[in-house]
Amino acid sequence: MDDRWLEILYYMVTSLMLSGSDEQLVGTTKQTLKALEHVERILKEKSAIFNKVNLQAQLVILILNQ
Amino acid sequence: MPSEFKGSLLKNAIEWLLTKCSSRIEPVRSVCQQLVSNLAVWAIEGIISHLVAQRLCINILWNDQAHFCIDHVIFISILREKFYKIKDNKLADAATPTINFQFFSFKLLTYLLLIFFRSHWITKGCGSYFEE
Repeated sequence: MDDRWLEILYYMVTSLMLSGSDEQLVGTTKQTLKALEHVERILKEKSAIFNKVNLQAQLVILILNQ
Repeated sequence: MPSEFKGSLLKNAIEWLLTKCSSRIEPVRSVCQQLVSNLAVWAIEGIISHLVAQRLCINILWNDQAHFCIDHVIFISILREKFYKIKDNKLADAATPTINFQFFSFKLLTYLLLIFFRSHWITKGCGSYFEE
């Protein structure tokens, strides 16, 4: 689950980059910034989880790759 | 995980974010800088933040943003404070021993230089003064 939050961060920043060409009325930038704020809050508050190596997740990835 | 992340930790995500801090798109740049400074100061244990600060400084110089430079000075001071607090409480991240070593070697070098200059001043400095 902790990996997914970093993934969300990645997609949010990417979508912020893409929203640069959107019109302001569409509100993509505003919504993305709001979502990023939320992600930031989670990363801050649950930082202990994100600073630890998740061995279980790595094992799953290794098995899936094989 | 995105292939651009070189790992699955928060520090890897911040390192990736740093590459986006020099983006040409203004909102991305400002959001990225804010995210990096907030997350590095509050969310990362250990002084990997020191490296982040160094790289951030390069980005600032490149972007030539004066207002952010002022924040950066505060940022660095918070980082240092955080580092020493972490070191005293023995909470330093085990994943970043090299940074601790860097700080240790820096301190050692400073002490050695201090001893060298003190001895140099006592033997050479005063000696030459009295000879004249």
